[in-house]
Amino acid sequence: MSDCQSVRAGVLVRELGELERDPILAAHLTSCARCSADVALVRLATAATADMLNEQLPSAHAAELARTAIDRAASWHEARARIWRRASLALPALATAVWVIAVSDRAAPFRSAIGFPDPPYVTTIALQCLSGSDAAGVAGPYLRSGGGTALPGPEGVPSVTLTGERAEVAEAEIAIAKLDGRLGPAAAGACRR
Amino acid sequence: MSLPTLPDSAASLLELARSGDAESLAALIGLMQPKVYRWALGFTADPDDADDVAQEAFVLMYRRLHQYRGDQSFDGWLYQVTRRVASQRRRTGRRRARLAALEDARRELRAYFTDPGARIDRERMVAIIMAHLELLPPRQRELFDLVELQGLTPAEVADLTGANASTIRANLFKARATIRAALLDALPSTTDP
Repeated sequence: MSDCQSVRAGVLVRELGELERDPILAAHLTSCARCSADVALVRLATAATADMLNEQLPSAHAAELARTAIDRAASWHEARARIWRRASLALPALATAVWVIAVSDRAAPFRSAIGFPDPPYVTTIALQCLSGSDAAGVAGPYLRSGGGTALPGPEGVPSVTLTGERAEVAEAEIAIAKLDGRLGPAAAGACRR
Repeated sequence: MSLPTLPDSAASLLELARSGDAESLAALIGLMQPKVYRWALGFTADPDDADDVAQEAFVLMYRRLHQYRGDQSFDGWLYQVTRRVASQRRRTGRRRARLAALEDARRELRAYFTDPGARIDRERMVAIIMAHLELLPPRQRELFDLVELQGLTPAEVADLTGANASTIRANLFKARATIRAALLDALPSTTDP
């Protein structure tokens, strides 16, 4: 590689002062006008660009900038505090709503709709008049959804076990009670086993 | 609002500002404004955008001052804040046509030479560097600006950017090669070898 090529390679990537500290390149630079001109051009152009940028002054006066920045930051802090205040008021209401939805019977359809159905409600009714299979037949039409069932008790145990959504089981209980002599006009003549 | 007379030491101002003293904060902003503006100018290459970035950086500085732990230099921390603001601004596409703005900025430059021909050459050199600086990847552009144009040492650059020495060196070499090759190609030496 000639000295000109070495200088050119150095000019492209090295800190310019390094070239002049290298004795061989420094000697070449004193004798080669073109290489010397290249180094001078890079140095001058870099310095001119640095001056152009470094001498730019911000248009904002320091005091004005400080006031604006502080005001804006203070507004941000206030806005954030406002959001937290609103959140702190809204959170108890939200928690109450969640609690109501979680436990209220009225919210059962809603819970089912959003994919959190209640576990099936199960109750066993002791019968006075009806047989277990009759009571199961009465209850059946009420237990329309959620895999509801009405199972008669074992032989000798006059009872029926109802399984299903709480509201439907309650309707079935009422219907059985009416026919079993525990509700309404039939109650007066409730049968005795 | 005028900047109050406060201790010269940035460290004292910083401590007072962190404790919530508004006047110290204003003084700290006034003290750091030239640096932050120059950093912002390196990121945006646009004087107006640099003003905006500097203001945003000071707003963010104020908001996050309590997070500054002192495990890095305050300059380095504030530089990272400025860089974050500048890159957010770039991402949201609010950056203006930078070269056009630079053309305006250059008109305001003081004349370095009384010879009109020489000034034109100087402006041409600056324009070539700025145009090619714009085309560099962000990391190379940032390091070229800090080292070659702002005159920081690699150690100072490492402190500001958090980059290690080999990253700085590699990016700087690439950036210099691109810029200087473009410069030497555009303005070849007319001197005979």
